[in-house]
Amino acid sequence: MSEQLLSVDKLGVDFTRRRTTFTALEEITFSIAEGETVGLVGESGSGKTTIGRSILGLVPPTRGTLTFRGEDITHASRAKRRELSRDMQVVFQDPYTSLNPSLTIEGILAEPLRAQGIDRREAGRRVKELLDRVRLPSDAAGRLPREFSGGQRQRVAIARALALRPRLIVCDEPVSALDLTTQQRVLDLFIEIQRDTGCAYLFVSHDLSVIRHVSHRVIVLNRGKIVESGGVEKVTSDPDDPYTQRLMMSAPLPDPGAQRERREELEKLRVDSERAA
Amino acid sequence: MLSFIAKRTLLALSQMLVISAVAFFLLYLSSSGIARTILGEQATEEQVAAKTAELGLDRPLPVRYVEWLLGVFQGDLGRSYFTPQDVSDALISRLPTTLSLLIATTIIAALIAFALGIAAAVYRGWLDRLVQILSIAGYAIPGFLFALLLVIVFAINLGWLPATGYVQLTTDPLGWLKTVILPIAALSIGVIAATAQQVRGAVIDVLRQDYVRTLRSRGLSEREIIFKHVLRNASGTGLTVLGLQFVGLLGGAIVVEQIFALPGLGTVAIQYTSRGDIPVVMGLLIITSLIVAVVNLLVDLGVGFLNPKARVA
Repeated sequence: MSEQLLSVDKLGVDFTRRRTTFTALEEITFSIAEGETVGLVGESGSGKTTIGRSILGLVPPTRGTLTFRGEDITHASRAKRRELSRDMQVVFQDPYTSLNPSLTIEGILAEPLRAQGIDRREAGRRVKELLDRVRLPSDAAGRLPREFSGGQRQRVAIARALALRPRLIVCDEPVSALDLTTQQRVLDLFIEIQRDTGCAYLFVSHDLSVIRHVSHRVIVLNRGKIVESGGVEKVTSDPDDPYTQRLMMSAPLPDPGAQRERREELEKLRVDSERAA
Repeated sequence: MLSFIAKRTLLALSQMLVISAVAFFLLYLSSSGIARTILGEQATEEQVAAKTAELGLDRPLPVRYVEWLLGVFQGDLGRSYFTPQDVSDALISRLPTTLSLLIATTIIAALIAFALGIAAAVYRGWLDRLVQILSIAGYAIPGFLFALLLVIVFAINLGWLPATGYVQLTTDPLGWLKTVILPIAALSIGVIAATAQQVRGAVIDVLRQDYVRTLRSRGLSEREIIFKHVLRNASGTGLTVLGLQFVGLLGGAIVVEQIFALPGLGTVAIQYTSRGDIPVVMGLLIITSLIVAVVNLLVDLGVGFLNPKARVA
Protein backbone atom coordinates (compact mmCIF):
# COMPACT_ATOMS: atom_id res chain seq x y z
CA MET A 1 0.00 0.00 0.00
CA SER A 2 2.32 2.66 -1.25
CA GLU A 3 1.08 5.55 -3.39
CA GLN A 4 -2.55 6.64 -3.73
CA LEU A 5 -4.34 5.09 -6.69
CA LEU A 6 -7.54 7.03 -6.42
CA SER A 7 -8.26 10.17 -4.43
CA VAL A 8 -11.76 11.46 -3.93
CA ASP A 9 -11.75 15.06 -2.68
CA LYS A 10 -14.87 16.77 -1.34
CA LEU A 11 -17.06 14.96 -3.86
CA GLY A 12 -20.65 16.15 -3.99
CA VAL A 13 -23.47 14.96 -6.24
CA ASP A 14 -26.84 16.62 -6.67
CA PHE A 15 -29.77 15.15 -8.53
CA THR A 16 -32.10 17.72 -10.02
CA ARG A 17 -35.55 16.79 -11.09
CA ARG A 18 -38.14 19.38 -12.02
CA ARG A 19 -36.62 22.24 -10.05
CA THR A 20 -36.17 20.25 -6.83
CA THR A 21 -32.60 19.39 -5.95
CA PHE A 22 -31.67 16.38 -3.91
CA THR A 23 -28.18 16.19 -2.51
CA ALA A 24 -27.09 12.58 -2.80
CA LEU A 25 -23.49 13.06 -1.71
CA GLU A 26 -21.72 15.76 0.26
CA GLU A 27 -18.08 16.37 1.17
CA ILE A 28 -16.96 12.85 0.40
CA THR A 29 -13.21 12.59 0.84
CA PHE A 30 -11.21 9.37 0.86
CA SER A 31 -8.51 7.59 -1.07
CA ILE A 32 -7.60 4.10 -2.17
CA ALA A 33 -3.98 2.88 -2.31
CA GLU A 34 -2.58 0.37 -4.80
CA GLY A 35 -3.65 -3.15 -3.90
CA GLU A 36 -5.97 -2.01 -1.14
CA THR A 37 -9.63 -2.84 -0.57
CA VAL A 38 -11.82 -0.07 0.74
CA GLY A 39 -15.24 -1.18 1.92
CA LEU A 40 -18.10 1.26 1.50
CA VAL A 41 -20.98 0.43 3.78
CA GLY A 42 -24.31 2.05 4.53
CA GLU A 43 -28.01 1.43 4.31
CA SER A 44 -30.10 1.76 1.14
CA GLY A 45 -30.11 5.29 -0.20
CA SER A 46 -27.01 6.30 1.73
CA GLY A 47 -25.22 7.14 -1.53
CA LYS A 48 -22.72 4.29 -1.67
CA THR A 49 -23.68 3.24 -5.18
CA THR A 50 -23.58 6.87 -6.33
CA ILE A 51 -19.95 7.15 -5.21
CA GLY A 52 -19.06 4.10 -7.29
CA ARG A 53 -20.93 5.43 -10.29
CA SER A 54 -19.37 8.87 -10.20
CA ILE A 55 -15.91 7.30 -10.09
CA LEU A 56 -16.88 5.29 -13.17
CA GLY A 57 -18.19 8.42 -14.90
CA LEU A 58 -21.79 7.22 -14.94
CA VAL A 59 -22.99 10.04 -12.69
CA PRO A 60 -21.47 13.51 -13.18
CA PRO A 61 -20.03 14.98 -9.97
CA THR A 62 -21.50 18.34 -9.00
CA ARG A 63 -18.64 19.38 -6.73
CA GLY A 64 -15.20 18.17 -5.77
CA THR A 65 -12.49 16.35 -7.69
CA LEU A 66 -11.54 12.78 -8.53
CA THR A 67 -7.90 11.98 -9.09
CA PHE A 68 -6.80 8.66 -10.55
CA ARG A 69 -3.07 7.89 -10.74
CA GLY A 70 -2.28 11.58 -10.36
CA GLU A 71 -4.65 12.64 -13.12
CA ASP A 72 -7.84 14.67 -12.71
CA ILE A 73 -10.70 12.52 -14.02
CA THR A 74 -13.60 14.51 -12.55
CA HIS A 75 -14.99 15.41 -15.97
CA ALA A 76 -13.19 12.89 -18.16
CA SER A 77 -14.31 12.79 -21.80
CA ARG A 78 -15.52 9.63 -23.52
CA ALA A 79 -12.15 9.11 -25.17
CA LYS A 80 -10.45 9.57 -21.79
CA ARG A 81 -12.90 7.07 -20.22
CA ARG A 82 -12.02 4.58 -22.90
CA GLU A 83 -8.37 4.99 -22.00
CA LEU A 84 -9.16 4.83 -18.28
CA SER A 85 -11.11 1.62 -18.68
CA ARG A 86 -7.79 -0.18 -19.09
CA ASP A 87 -7.08 0.61 -15.45
CA MET A 88 -10.55 0.86 -13.95
CA GLN A 89 -13.32 -1.72 -14.24
CA VAL A 90 -16.63 -2.57 -12.65
CA VAL A 91 -18.60 -5.56 -11.34
CA PHE A 92 -22.30 -4.91 -10.79
CA GLN A 93 -24.77 -6.47 -8.42
CA ASP A 94 -27.16 -8.37 -10.63
CA PRO A 95 -25.46 -11.16 -12.56
CA TYR A 96 -28.64 -11.62 -14.60
CA THR A 97 -28.59 -8.19 -16.22
CA SER A 98 -24.87 -7.57 -16.29
CA LEU A 99 -24.14 -9.92 -19.19
CA ASN A 100 -25.38 -9.31 -22.74
CA PRO A 101 -27.79 -12.24 -23.25
CA SER A 102 -27.15 -12.55 -26.99
CA LEU A 103 -23.38 -12.91 -26.78
CA THR A 104 -21.50 -16.08 -25.89
CA ILE A 105 -19.20 -16.00 -22.86
CA GLU A 106 -16.26 -15.70 -25.22
CA GLY A 107 -17.92 -12.72 -26.93
CA ILE A 108 -18.57 -11.06 -23.58
CA LEU A 109 -15.00 -11.53 -22.37
CA ALA A 110 -13.39 -10.60 -25.68
CA GLU A 111 -15.43 -7.41 -26.10
CA PRO A 112 -13.36 -5.15 -23.81
CA LEU A 113 -10.17 -6.59 -25.33
CA ARG A 114 -11.31 -6.01 -28.91
CA ALA A 115 -12.48 -2.49 -28.00
CA GLN A 116 -8.90 -1.73 -26.98
CA GLY A 117 -7.67 -2.97 -30.34
CA ILE A 118 -6.33 -6.37 -29.32
CA ASP A 119 -6.44 -8.83 -32.25
CA ARG A 120 -8.78 -11.81 -32.37
CA ARG A 121 -6.19 -14.54 -31.76
CA GLU A 122 -4.65 -12.81 -28.80
CA ALA A 123 -8.12 -12.08 -27.38
CA GLY A 124 -9.11 -15.74 -27.70
CA ARG A 125 -6.00 -16.80 -25.82
CA ARG A 126 -6.68 -14.25 -23.09
CA VAL A 127 -10.30 -15.45 -22.75
CA LYS A 128 -9.10 -18.99 -21.92
CA GLU A 129 -6.72 -17.55 -19.35
CA LEU A 130 -9.53 -15.49 -17.78
CA LEU A 131 -11.93 -18.43 -17.54
CA ASP A 132 -9.21 -20.39 -15.83
CA ARG A 133 -8.54 -17.44 -13.52
CA VAL A 134 -12.15 -17.39 -12.28
CA ARG A 135 -12.35 -21.21 -12.13
CA LEU A 136 -14.79 -21.73 -14.98
CA PRO A 137 -14.27 -24.67 -17.37
CA SER A 138 -12.76 -23.63 -20.70
CA ASP A 139 -15.70 -25.09 -22.63
CA ALA A 140 -17.78 -22.29 -21.06
CA ALA A 141 -16.49 -19.97 -23.81
CA GLY A 142 -18.97 -21.12 -26.44
CA ARG A 143 -22.03 -21.05 -24.19
CA LEU A 144 -24.60 -18.34 -23.52
CA PRO A 145 -25.13 -16.52 -20.19
CA ARG A 146 -28.51 -18.17 -19.63
CA GLU A 147 -26.79 -21.54 -19.29
CA PHE A 148 -25.06 -20.42 -16.09
CA SER A 149 -26.12 -20.02 -12.49
CA GLY A 150 -25.95 -16.68 -10.66
CA GLY A 151 -22.60 -17.47 -9.08
CA GLN A 152 -21.11 -18.60 -12.36
CA ARG A 153 -22.41 -15.51 -14.12
CA GLN A 154 -20.82 -13.33 -11.49
CA ARG A 155 -17.54 -15.14 -12.18
CA VAL A 156 -17.96 -14.23 -15.85
CA ALA A 157 -18.56 -10.61 -14.84
CA ILE A 158 -15.42 -10.70 -12.71
CA ALA A 159 -13.45 -12.25 -15.57
CA ARG A 160 -14.66 -9.47 -17.86
CA ALA A 161 -13.54 -6.87 -15.32
CA LEU A 162 -10.12 -8.56 -15.16
CA ALA A 163 -9.71 -8.79 -18.93
CA LEU A 164 -7.66 -5.61 -19.25
CA ARG A 165 -5.64 -6.15 -16.06
CA PRO A 166 -7.06 -3.11 -14.26
CA ARG A 167 -5.57 -1.41 -11.19
CA LEU A 168 -8.95 -0.68 -9.64
CA ILE A 169 -12.24 -2.59 -9.73
CA VAL A 170 -15.39 -0.92 -8.47
CA CYS A 171 -17.55 -3.70 -7.04
CA ASP A 172 -21.13 -2.57 -6.57
CA GLU A 173 -22.77 -5.13 -4.26
CA PRO A 174 -21.15 -7.94 -6.24
CA VAL A 175 -22.37 -10.75 -3.98
CA SER A 176 -25.73 -9.46 -2.73
CA ALA A 177 -27.69 -11.39 -5.34
CA LEU A 178 -26.01 -14.69 -4.48
CA ASP A 179 -26.80 -17.27 -1.80
CA LEU A 180 -24.52 -17.55 1.23
CA THR A 181 -22.24 -20.40 0.19
CA THR A 182 -21.81 -18.93 -3.30
CA GLN A 183 -21.11 -15.54 -1.71
CA GLN A 184 -18.29 -17.06 0.30
CA ARG A 185 -16.69 -18.62 -2.76
CA VAL A 186 -16.98 -15.48 -4.86
CA LEU A 187 -15.53 -13.36 -2.05
CA ASP A 188 -12.59 -15.75 -1.72
CA LEU A 189 -12.08 -15.43 -5.46
CA PHE A 190 -11.92 -11.64 -5.10
CA ILE A 191 -9.31 -11.95 -2.36
CA GLU A 192 -7.27 -14.48 -4.32
CA ILE A 193 -7.28 -12.28 -7.43
CA GLN A 194 -6.10 -9.33 -5.38
CA ARG A 195 -3.27 -11.36 -3.91
CA ASP A 196 -2.15 -12.47 -7.38
CA THR A 197 -2.63 -9.28 -9.38
CA GLY A 198 -2.35 -6.56 -6.77
CA CYS A 199 -5.43 -4.71 -7.95
CA ALA A 200 -7.39 -2.44 -5.62
CA TYR A 201 -11.10 -2.73 -4.88
CA LEU A 202 -13.73 -0.21 -3.96
CA PHE A 203 -16.16 -2.64 -2.44
CA VAL A 204 -19.70 -1.36 -2.03
CA SER A 205 -22.01 -3.42 0.15
CA HIS A 206 -24.77 -3.10 2.70
CA ASP A 207 -23.66 -6.35 4.30
CA LEU A 208 -21.17 -5.89 7.13
CA SER A 209 -19.96 -9.45 7.24
CA VAL A 210 -19.08 -9.18 3.53
CA ILE A 211 -17.24 -5.91 4.12
CA ARG A 212 -15.40 -7.37 7.09
CA HIS A 213 -14.33 -10.35 5.03
CA VAL A 214 -12.70 -8.48 2.16
CA SER A 215 -11.78 -4.94 3.26
CA HIS A 216 -8.64 -3.40 4.67
CA ARG A 217 -10.33 -0.13 5.47
CA VAL A 218 -14.01 0.72 5.88
CA ILE A 219 -15.99 3.88 5.17
CA VAL A 220 -19.42 4.18 6.73
CA LEU A 221 -21.91 6.30 4.85
CA ASN A 222 -25.18 7.78 6.09
CA ARG A 223 -27.42 10.10 4.07
CA GLY A 224 -24.69 11.04 1.64
CA LYS A 225 -22.04 11.83 4.24
CA ILE A 226 -19.12 9.88 5.65
CA VAL A 227 -19.84 9.28 9.33
CA GLU A 228 -16.85 7.13 10.14
CA SER A 229 -13.82 5.60 8.47
CA GLY A 230 -10.80 3.63 9.50
CA GLY A 231 -9.24 0.19 9.71
CA VAL A 232 -11.63 -2.72 9.35
CA GLU A 233 -10.99 -4.03 12.88
CA LYS A 234 -11.58 -0.70 14.58
CA VAL A 235 -14.74 0.24 12.67
CA THR A 236 -16.41 -3.14 12.81
CA SER A 237 -15.63 -4.06 16.42
CA ASP A 238 -15.38 -0.74 18.24
CA PRO A 239 -17.11 2.01 16.25
CA ASP A 240 -17.12 5.60 17.54
CA ASP A 241 -20.10 6.96 15.66
CA PRO A 242 -23.60 6.13 17.00
CA TYR A 243 -24.91 5.47 13.48
CA THR A 244 -22.13 2.94 12.88
CA GLN A 245 -22.87 1.36 16.24
CA ARG A 246 -26.51 0.94 15.28
CA LEU A 247 -25.55 -0.39 11.86
CA MET A 248 -23.28 -3.00 13.43
CA MET A 249 -26.00 -3.97 15.89
CA SER A 250 -28.60 -4.41 13.19
CA ALA A 251 -26.81 -7.44 11.73
CA PRO A 252 -28.65 -10.42 13.27
CA LEU A 253 -26.82 -13.10 15.28
CA PRO A 254 -27.51 -16.82 14.88
CA ASP A 255 -27.82 -17.37 18.67
CA PRO A 256 -31.35 -16.35 19.84
CA GLY A 257 -30.18 -15.40 23.34
CA ALA A 258 -27.39 -13.21 22.06
CA GLN A 259 -29.73 -11.74 19.49
CA ARG A 260 -32.26 -10.81 22.21
CA GLU A 261 -29.55 -8.99 24.17
CA ARG A 262 -28.39 -7.26 21.03
CA ARG A 263 -31.92 -6.14 20.23
CA GLU A 264 -32.30 -4.59 23.68
CA GLU A 265 -28.96 -2.85 23.34
CA LEU A 266 -29.98 -1.54 19.93
CA GLU A 267 -33.22 -0.21 21.35
CA LYS A 268 -31.30 1.62 24.07
CA LEU A 269 -28.99 3.17 21.46
CA ARG A 270 -31.97 4.32 19.45
CA VAL A 271 -33.59 5.99 22.46
CA ASP A 272 -30.30 7.67 23.39
CA SER A 273 -29.73 9.04 19.93
CA GLU A 274 -33.30 10.35 19.78
CA ARG A 275 -32.82 12.08 23.10
CA ALA A 276 -29.59 13.60 21.86
CA ALA A 277 -31.31 14.87 18.75
CA MET B 1 -31.29 -24.41 -38.14
CA LEU B 2 -32.49 -26.64 -40.97
CA SER B 3 -34.54 -28.82 -38.65
CA PHE B 4 -36.02 -25.64 -37.19
CA ILE B 5 -37.15 -24.50 -40.64
CA ALA B 6 -38.47 -27.97 -41.47
CA LYS B 7 -40.46 -28.16 -38.25
CA ARG B 8 -41.89 -24.70 -38.75
CA THR B 9 -42.85 -25.45 -42.34
CA LEU B 10 -44.59 -28.63 -41.29
CA LEU B 11 -46.43 -26.75 -38.58
CA ALA B 12 -47.50 -24.07 -41.04
CA LEU B 13 -48.76 -26.69 -43.51
CA SER B 14 -50.84 -28.44 -40.86
CA GLN B 15 -52.24 -25.09 -39.78
CA MET B 16 -53.27 -24.33 -43.35
CA LEU B 17 -54.87 -27.76 -43.63
CA VAL B 18 -57.00 -27.15 -40.55
CA ILE B 19 -57.94 -23.62 -41.62
CA SER B 20 -58.94 -24.74 -45.10
CA ALA B 21 -60.99 -27.69 -43.78
CA VAL B 22 -62.88 -25.58 -41.26
CA ALA B 23 -63.55 -22.85 -43.82
CA PHE B 24 -64.60 -25.32 -46.51
CA PHE B 25 -67.14 -27.08 -44.32
CA LEU B 26 -68.49 -23.88 -42.80
CA LEU B 27 -68.90 -22.16 -46.16
CA TYR B 28 -70.66 -25.07 -47.87
CA LEU B 29 -72.82 -25.99 -44.89
CA SER B 30 -74.04 -22.43 -44.48
CA SER B 31 -74.92 -21.80 -48.12
CA SER B 32 -77.79 -23.76 -49.59
CA GLY B 33 -79.11 -23.56 -53.11
CA ILE B 34 -75.90 -22.51 -54.79
CA ALA B 35 -77.11 -23.63 -58.21
CA ARG B 36 -80.34 -21.69 -57.74
CA THR B 37 -78.38 -18.54 -56.89
CA ILE B 38 -76.24 -18.92 -59.98
CA LEU B 39 -79.11 -19.59 -62.40
CA GLY B 40 -81.56 -17.08 -60.96
CA GLU B 41 -85.22 -17.29 -59.95
CA GLN B 42 -86.49 -18.12 -63.45
CA ALA B 43 -84.60 -21.40 -63.82
CA THR B 44 -86.59 -24.64 -63.79
CA GLU B 45 -86.09 -27.45 -61.29
CA GLU B 46 -84.40 -29.55 -64.00
CA GLN B 47 -81.95 -26.82 -64.86
CA VAL B 48 -81.07 -26.40 -61.17
CA ALA B 49 -80.57 -30.15 -60.76
CA ALA B 50 -78.38 -30.27 -63.87
CA LYS B 51 -76.26 -27.35 -62.62
CA THR B 52 -75.92 -28.98 -59.18
CA ALA B 53 -74.67 -32.16 -60.80
CA GLU B 54 -72.34 -30.20 -63.11
CA LEU B 55 -70.72 -28.44 -60.14
CA GLY B 56 -70.55 -31.75 -58.25
CA LEU B 57 -72.59 -30.31 -55.39
CA ASP B 58 -74.71 -33.47 -55.11
CA ARG B 59 -71.79 -35.50 -53.84
CA PRO B 60 -70.84 -35.79 -50.12
CA LEU B 61 -68.96 -32.82 -48.64
CA PRO B 62 -65.85 -34.73 -47.38
CA VAL B 63 -65.27 -36.16 -50.85
CA ARG B 64 -65.51 -32.69 -52.36
CA TYR B 65 -63.02 -31.35 -49.80
CA VAL B 66 -60.46 -34.04 -50.56
CA GLU B 67 -60.86 -33.41 -54.29
CA TRP B 68 -60.43 -29.68 -53.78
CA LEU B 69 -57.35 -30.27 -51.61
CA LEU B 70 -55.74 -32.54 -54.21
CA GLY B 71 -56.39 -29.81 -56.75
CA VAL B 72 -54.72 -27.22 -54.54
CA PHE B 73 -51.55 -29.30 -54.36
CA GLN B 74 -51.47 -29.28 -58.17
CA GLY B 75 -52.00 -25.53 -58.29
CA ASP B 76 -55.65 -25.83 -59.31
CA LEU B 77 -57.96 -23.80 -57.11
CA GLY B 78 -61.10 -24.63 -59.05
CA ARG B 79 -63.39 -22.46 -61.10
CA SER B 80 -65.39 -19.37 -60.20
CA TYR B 81 -69.17 -19.94 -60.05
CA PHE B 82 -70.08 -16.67 -61.70
CA THR B 83 -67.34 -15.86 -64.17
CA PRO B 84 -65.80 -18.25 -66.67
CA GLN B 85 -62.43 -17.93 -64.98
CA ASP B 86 -60.03 -20.17 -63.12
CA VAL B 87 -59.72 -19.04 -59.50
CA SER B 88 -55.93 -19.18 -59.66
CA ASP B 89 -55.89 -16.90 -62.72
CA ALA B 90 -58.25 -14.43 -61.08
CA LEU B 91 -56.18 -14.26 -57.92
CA ILE B 92 -52.65 -14.50 -59.24
CA SER B 93 -53.16 -11.52 -61.54
CA ARG B 94 -54.15 -9.49 -58.46
CA LEU B 95 -51.51 -10.81 -56.09
CA PRO B 96 -48.58 -8.58 -57.16
CA THR B 97 -50.56 -5.40 -56.46
CA THR B 98 -51.43 -6.40 -52.90
CA LEU B 99 -48.06 -7.95 -52.14
CA SER B 100 -46.08 -4.97 -53.42
CA LEU B 101 -48.30 -2.70 -51.36
CA LEU B 102 -47.91 -4.77 -48.19
CA ILE B 103 -44.18 -5.33 -48.51
CA ALA B 104 -43.47 -1.66 -49.27
CA THR B 105 -45.65 -0.64 -46.34
CA THR B 106 -43.90 -3.03 -43.98
CA ILE B 107 -40.39 -1.94 -44.98
CA ILE B 108 -41.18 1.77 -44.79
CA ALA B 109 -43.13 1.40 -41.55
CA ALA B 110 -40.34 -0.69 -40.01
CA LEU B 111 -37.67 1.89 -40.81
CA ILE B 112 -39.73 4.77 -39.45
CA ALA B 113 -40.93 2.84 -36.40
CA PHE B 114 -37.44 1.67 -35.39
CA ALA B 115 -36.01 5.16 -35.89
CA LEU B 116 -38.78 6.76 -33.81
CA GLY B 117 -38.70 4.07 -31.12
CA ILE B 118 -34.92 4.21 -30.71
CA ALA B 119 -34.88 8.02 -30.73
CA ALA B 120 -37.64 8.17 -28.11
CA ALA B 121 -35.86 5.66 -25.87
CA VAL B 122 -32.44 7.28 -26.18
CA TYR B 123 -33.34 10.96 -25.95
CA ARG B 124 -36.47 10.66 -23.75
CA GLY B 125 -37.81 14.08 -22.69
CA TRP B 126 -40.09 15.99 -25.07
CA LEU B 127 -39.22 13.85 -28.09
CA ASP B 128 -40.31 10.74 -26.20
CA ARG B 129 -43.57 12.37 -25.17
CA LEU B 130 -44.23 13.51 -28.73
CA VAL B 131 -43.64 10.00 -30.09
CA GLN B 132 -45.93 8.59 -27.40
CA ILE B 133 -48.75 10.99 -28.24
CA LEU B 134 -48.38 10.42 -31.99
CA SER B 135 -48.32 6.66 -31.41
CA ILE B 136 -51.54 6.68 -29.46
CA ALA B 137 -53.18 8.93 -32.05
CA GLY B 138 -51.87 6.80 -34.91
CA TYR B 139 -53.12 3.66 -33.26
CA ALA B 140 -56.54 5.14 -32.49
CA ILE B 141 -57.26 6.57 -35.94
CA PRO B 142 -58.51 3.83 -38.27
CA GLY B 143 -56.56 3.38 -41.50
CA PHE B 144 -59.51 4.06 -43.77
CA LEU B 145 -60.27 7.40 -42.09
CA PHE B 146 -56.68 8.40 -42.51
CA ALA B 147 -56.85 7.25 -46.13
CA LEU B 148 -59.86 9.49 -46.81
CA LEU B 149 -58.09 12.41 -45.14
CA LEU B 150 -55.01 11.86 -47.33
CA VAL B 151 -57.15 11.76 -50.46
CA ILE B 152 -58.88 15.02 -49.55
CA VAL B 153 -55.66 16.86 -48.75
CA PHE B 154 -53.13 15.52 -51.24
CA ALA B 155 -55.27 14.40 -54.16
CA ILE B 156 -58.22 16.79 -54.17
CA ASN B 157 -57.04 20.02 -52.50
CA LEU B 158 -53.37 20.01 -53.45
CA GLY B 159 -53.68 17.79 -56.52
CA TRP B 160 -50.16 16.39 -56.06
CA LEU B 161 -51.06 12.73 -56.37
CA PRO B 162 -53.80 10.76 -58.08
CA ALA B 163 -56.74 9.85 -55.85
CA THR B 164 -57.39 6.50 -57.48
CA GLY B 165 -55.94 4.15 -60.08
CA TYR B 166 -52.94 1.89 -60.38
CA VAL B 167 -49.91 1.52 -62.62
CA GLN B 168 -47.89 -1.69 -62.68
CA LEU B 169 -44.48 -1.43 -61.06
CA THR B 170 -42.92 -3.19 -64.03
CA THR B 171 -44.39 -0.86 -66.66
CA ASP B 172 -43.74 2.51 -65.03
CA PRO B 173 -41.93 2.61 -61.66
CA LEU B 174 -42.47 6.36 -61.17
CA GLY B 175 -46.15 6.06 -62.01
CA TRP B 176 -46.41 3.12 -59.62
CA LEU B 177 -44.81 5.19 -56.88
CA LYS B 178 -47.33 8.01 -57.43
CA THR B 179 -50.27 5.67 -57.16
CA VAL B 180 -49.07 3.84 -54.06
CA ILE B 181 -47.71 6.68 -51.91
CA LEU B 182 -51.09 7.50 -50.39
CA PRO B 183 -52.20 3.88 -49.82
CA ILE B 184 -48.83 3.08 -48.20
CA ALA B 185 -49.09 6.15 -45.98
CA ALA B 186 -52.61 5.18 -44.92
CA LEU B 187 -51.59 1.60 -44.13
CA SER B 188 -48.30 2.37 -42.40
CA ILE B 189 -49.63 4.74 -39.79
CA GLY B 190 -51.05 2.01 -37.52
CA VAL B 191 -48.04 -0.25 -38.02
CA ILE B 192 -45.63 2.58 -37.16
CA ALA B 193 -47.65 3.50 -34.09
CA ALA B 194 -47.72 -0.03 -32.67
CA THR B 195 -44.16 -0.98 -33.59
CA ALA B 196 -42.53 2.28 -32.43
CA GLN B 197 -44.09 1.83 -29.00
CA GLN B 198 -42.74 -1.72 -28.66
CA VAL B 199 -39.28 -0.79 -29.92
CA ARG B 200 -39.18 2.15 -27.50
CA GLY B 201 -40.12 -0.07 -24.56
CA ALA B 202 -37.63 -2.78 -25.48
CA VAL B 203 -34.76 -0.32 -25.98
CA ILE B 204 -35.49 1.37 -22.64
CA ASP B 205 -35.49 -2.02 -20.95
CA VAL B 206 -32.14 -2.97 -22.44
CA LEU B 207 -30.60 0.44 -21.70
CA ARG B 208 -31.36 -0.11 -18.02
CA GLN B 209 -29.36 -3.34 -17.91
CA ASP B 210 -26.07 -3.40 -16.07
CA TYR B 211 -24.12 -4.63 -19.08
CA VAL B 212 -24.98 -1.39 -20.87
CA ARG B 213 -23.85 0.52 -17.78
CA THR B 214 -20.59 -1.46 -17.91
CA LEU B 215 -20.09 -0.45 -21.54
CA ARG B 216 -20.77 3.20 -20.67
CA SER B 217 -18.23 3.10 -17.87
CA ARG B 218 -15.70 2.04 -20.45
CA GLY B 219 -16.35 5.15 -22.52
CA LEU B 220 -17.99 3.50 -25.53
CA SER B 221 -19.89 5.99 -27.69
CA GLU B 222 -23.66 6.00 -27.50
CA ARG B 223 -23.83 4.99 -31.16
CA GLU B 224 -21.66 1.92 -30.60
CA ILE B 225 -23.68 0.93 -27.56
CA ILE B 226 -27.02 1.29 -29.34
CA PHE B 227 -26.15 -0.34 -32.64
CA LYS B 228 -23.74 -3.04 -31.47
CA HIS B 229 -25.23 -4.11 -28.16
CA VAL B 230 -28.71 -2.74 -27.49
CA LEU B 231 -30.45 -3.12 -30.81
CA ARG B 232 -29.65 -6.78 -31.14
CA ASN B 233 -31.41 -7.52 -27.87
CA ALA B 234 -34.24 -5.08 -28.40
CA SER B 235 -35.21 -5.69 -32.02
CA GLY B 236 -36.74 -9.12 -31.45
CA THR B 237 -39.77 -7.49 -29.88
CA GLY B 238 -40.12 -4.99 -32.72
CA LEU B 239 -39.82 -7.73 -35.31
CA THR B 240 -42.50 -9.86 -33.65
CA VAL B 241 -44.92 -6.95 -33.50
CA LEU B 242 -44.13 -6.13 -37.11
CA GLY B 243 -45.04 -9.69 -38.10
CA LEU B 244 -48.37 -9.43 -36.30
CA GLN B 245 -49.01 -6.05 -37.88
CA PHE B 246 -48.33 -7.49 -41.33
CA VAL B 247 -51.08 -10.01 -40.77
CA GLY B 248 -53.38 -7.18 -39.70
CA LEU B 249 -52.38 -5.31 -42.86
CA LEU B 250 -53.98 -8.02 -44.99
CA GLY B 251 -57.29 -6.93 -43.53
CA GLY B 252 -56.46 -3.23 -43.76
CA ALA B 253 -55.51 -3.64 -47.42
CA ILE B 254 -59.06 -4.70 -48.29
CA VAL B 255 -60.47 -1.36 -47.23
CA VAL B 256 -57.60 0.77 -48.46
CA GLU B 257 -57.56 -0.92 -51.88
CA GLN B 258 -61.23 -0.19 -52.14
CA ILE B 259 -60.76 3.51 -51.33
CA PHE B 260 -57.90 4.01 -53.81
CA ALA B 261 -59.46 1.63 -56.38
CA LEU B 262 -56.39 -0.58 -56.53
CA PRO B 263 -56.92 -3.87 -58.38
CA GLY B 264 -55.63 -6.07 -55.59
CA LEU B 265 -56.81 -9.07 -53.62
CA GLY B 266 -58.88 -6.83 -51.36
CA THR B 267 -61.11 -5.69 -54.19
CA VAL B 268 -61.52 -9.32 -55.29
CA ALA B 269 -62.41 -10.31 -51.75
CA ILE B 270 -65.21 -7.76 -51.52
CA GLN B 271 -66.57 -8.51 -55.00
CA TYR B 272 -66.67 -12.26 -54.73
CA THR B 273 -67.52 -12.74 -51.09
CA SER B 274 -70.69 -10.69 -51.36
CA ARG B 275 -71.75 -12.81 -54.33
CA GLY B 276 -71.08 -16.06 -52.47
CA ASP B 277 -68.51 -17.34 -54.93
CA ILE B 278 -67.12 -20.04 -52.65
CA PRO B 279 -64.25 -21.33 -54.85
CA VAL B 280 -62.79 -17.82 -55.09
CA VAL B 281 -63.21 -17.24 -51.35
CA MET B 282 -61.44 -20.52 -50.61
CA GLY B 283 -58.66 -19.53 -53.00
CA LEU B 284 -58.25 -16.20 -51.22
CA LEU B 285 -58.13 -17.99 -47.91
CA ILE B 286 -55.39 -20.35 -49.03
CA ILE B 287 -53.28 -17.56 -50.50
CA THR B 288 -53.60 -15.26 -47.49
CA SER B 289 -52.89 -18.04 -45.01
CA LEU B 290 -49.84 -18.98 -47.09
CA ILE B 291 -48.64 -15.36 -46.91
CA VAL B 292 -49.19 -15.32 -43.14
CA ALA B 293 -47.33 -18.62 -42.70
CA VAL B 294 -44.36 -17.37 -44.74
CA VAL B 295 -44.22 -14.09 -42.82
CA ASN B 296 -44.35 -15.90 -39.47
CA LEU B 297 -41.55 -18.20 -40.53
CA LEU B 298 -39.44 -15.23 -41.63
CA VAL B 299 -40.08 -13.43 -38.33
CA ASP B 300 -39.10 -16.50 -36.31
CA LEU B 301 -35.92 -16.91 -38.32
CA GLY B 302 -35.15 -13.21 -37.97
CA VAL B 303 -35.65 -13.23 -34.22
CA GLY B 304 -33.53 -16.37 -33.89
CA PHE B 305 -30.78 -14.80 -35.99
CA LEU B 306 -30.74 -11.66 -33.85
CA ASN B 307 -31.02 -13.38 -30.54
CA PRO B 308 -29.68 -16.86 -29.89
CA LYS B 309 -31.72 -16.94 -26.70
CA ALA B 310 -34.87 -17.34 -28.76
CA ARG B 311 -33.43 -20.08 -30.97
CA VAL B 312 -35.67 -22.96 -30.02
CA ALA B 313 -35.75 -26.22 -31.88
